[in-house]
Amino acid sequence: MEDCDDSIACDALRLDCEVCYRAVFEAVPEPVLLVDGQGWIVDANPAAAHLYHRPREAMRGQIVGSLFVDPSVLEGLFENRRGQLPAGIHLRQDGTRFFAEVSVSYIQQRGGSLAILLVRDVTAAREAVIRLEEAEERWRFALEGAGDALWDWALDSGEIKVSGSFRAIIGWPDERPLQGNEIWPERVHRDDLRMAIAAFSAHLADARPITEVEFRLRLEDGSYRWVALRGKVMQRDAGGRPLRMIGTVRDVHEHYLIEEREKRQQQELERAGRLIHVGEMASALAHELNQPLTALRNFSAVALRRLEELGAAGERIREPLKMIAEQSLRAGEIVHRVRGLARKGGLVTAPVALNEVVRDIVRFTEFEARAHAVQFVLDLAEPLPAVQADQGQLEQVLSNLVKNGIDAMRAVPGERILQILTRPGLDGMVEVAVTDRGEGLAEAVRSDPFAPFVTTKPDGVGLGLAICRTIIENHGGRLWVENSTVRGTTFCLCIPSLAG
Amino acid sequence: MKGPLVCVVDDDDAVRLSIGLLVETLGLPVRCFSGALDLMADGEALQNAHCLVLDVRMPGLSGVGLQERLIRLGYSVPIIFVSAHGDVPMVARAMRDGAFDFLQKPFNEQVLLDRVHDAVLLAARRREEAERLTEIQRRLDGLTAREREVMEGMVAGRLNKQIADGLGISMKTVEQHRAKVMEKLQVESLAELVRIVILSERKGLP
Repeated sequence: MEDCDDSIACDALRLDCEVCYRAVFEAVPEPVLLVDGQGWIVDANPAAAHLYHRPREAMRGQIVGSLFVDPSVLEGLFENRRGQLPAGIHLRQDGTRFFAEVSVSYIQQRGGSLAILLVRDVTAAREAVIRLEEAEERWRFALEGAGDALWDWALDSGEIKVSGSFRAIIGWPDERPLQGNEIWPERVHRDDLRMAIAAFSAHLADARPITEVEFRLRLEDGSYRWVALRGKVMQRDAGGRPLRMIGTVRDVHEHYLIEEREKRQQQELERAGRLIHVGEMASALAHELNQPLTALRNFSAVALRRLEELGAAGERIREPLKMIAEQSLRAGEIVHRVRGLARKGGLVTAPVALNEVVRDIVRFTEFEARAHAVQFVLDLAEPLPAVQADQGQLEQVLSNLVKNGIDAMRAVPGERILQILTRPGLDGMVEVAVTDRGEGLAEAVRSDPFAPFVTTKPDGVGLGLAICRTIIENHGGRLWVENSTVRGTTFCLCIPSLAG
Repeated sequence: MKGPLVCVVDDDDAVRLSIGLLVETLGLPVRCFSGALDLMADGEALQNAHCLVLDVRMPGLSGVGLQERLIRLGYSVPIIFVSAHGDVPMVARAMRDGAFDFLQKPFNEQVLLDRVHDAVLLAARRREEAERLTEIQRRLDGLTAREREVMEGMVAGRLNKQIADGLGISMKTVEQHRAKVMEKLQVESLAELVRIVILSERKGLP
């Protein structure tokens, strides 16, 4: 016993160590098993007992293999030391199972080696993966079924896989590996870039459930095509950082062009409408002001002339009266100038096919007509001579008449039909008639439906028809009410044709 | 008030009244109407009107519409249009169809009065001429068939002998017819005769 002192010291040290070790063993939240060389469980910590639903006492002395559905993974546990056992299914006492990963470390003791098994229940994580795979499968299936071009983008590596149909859109011949940024932002049209980036960012930051954006994509030949892109992040890391995104690209070029054109026309129509409104508001105001100004001027002139008869007695009144007469003309000048300003630009005329204008208007107002169960009936004379006109303004007039017609039938219980007829008229004119089956013009507007600021509509200003008439008259034509009875109203307009 | 009548049509009460008072200062009788159809319905006013002052734009029949109807009826009277709008194309058409003038409201009243004055003079002259033509026609209608034949020969510049031979009558008879024609048509010379016949023919009379 020559090293007794040492041995006592060593024992004391070992004891300290063991106390320490035990405290850790008891306290760690991870399930830990101590297994000896023969595969017996020497000890299990409370977390392990909880995980396996077994009392600690019962676990001590048990064969560790009994916790595994497939104990073969334990073979050679001590012979070929491993840091990790293959993930597998573990058994609880009540027969329920869970999926677990096991980390292994080894310690040397006087009685031989012990293995420390750290068990991690990964059932929830694994189910998430399985669910994800299933979801991805469904997603892919749906996309391919829709015939869209697919892409699959690994955000960390930047690599993107695209389907053959996607390559076909761009005009890439081969299967060369690609980086996401070779497509976006690289091939996105400069004017659409901001929108595209916004759409991606919103979804990547999880602010939107999906990326959905249309943009122009540059092809290999340098041209651009409109495409509609949809994409969804399929995988994020624990911090919510997107790892993988897949989606589709659909060529919507033709569709987009048509839509774009219609949208532009619609905007154009509205813009023209607003402009005309300003101009016509000024025009209508000018008329309303010019009338009293005329009377004012005339009355003062009459007064001046009668003053002559009084001779010298009227002298003191003459000057102020003359001022009144002059100022009324001056006011007229101002009104005239304001109207001139509002009219600036004037008519932009070109040969216009009225039948086409009618068809356009029917298309523009179809939604409104459907909403009020109104059916259009067109009776368009073909061929019809073209007219020299400002198409935007004509559209404005016709859409106004059509909308009035639809409004007029709001409360009609019977068939709601709006008929639009075109025909060559007298004196080289072309005529358009818009007939509704409403209950006729209201009393308030019957005597002069075109009078400005008279309306039966709660939200109207009473300028629509006044404006329409001014427009048609500016074209050298006429607008009038052909007929208005309790069974309907017909508005007619005529415009000089190019032939006439 | 006696004299050539001026008719004013405007739907605006104040404008109508003020134009009426204004025209009256010329010493002319004035009739005012608030609508074109009211004037159309007043045959006497139309008969006597020497000038119409029409608003272009009115409910019902417009001023320009009234002008068209009057033209179709073969009724000719100088029309002065007044408008508070800048209805340029409409006015251009009215002018093409023979409107006498167009004034933008508000106007210098002196210009209107001058134009009304001119229009009334024109109408008076036209009426005089028309009356003269009617009178000539009345006299021409008074000729017998034979007298008319002789008159046509005279106007064509033929000698009495040529006329007599052409009609198979004697020179003496031709001379008698000649005297009758001059008397009935109340002309002193052959030149005067030719003038009124040409006048009547230009007017489309037989």
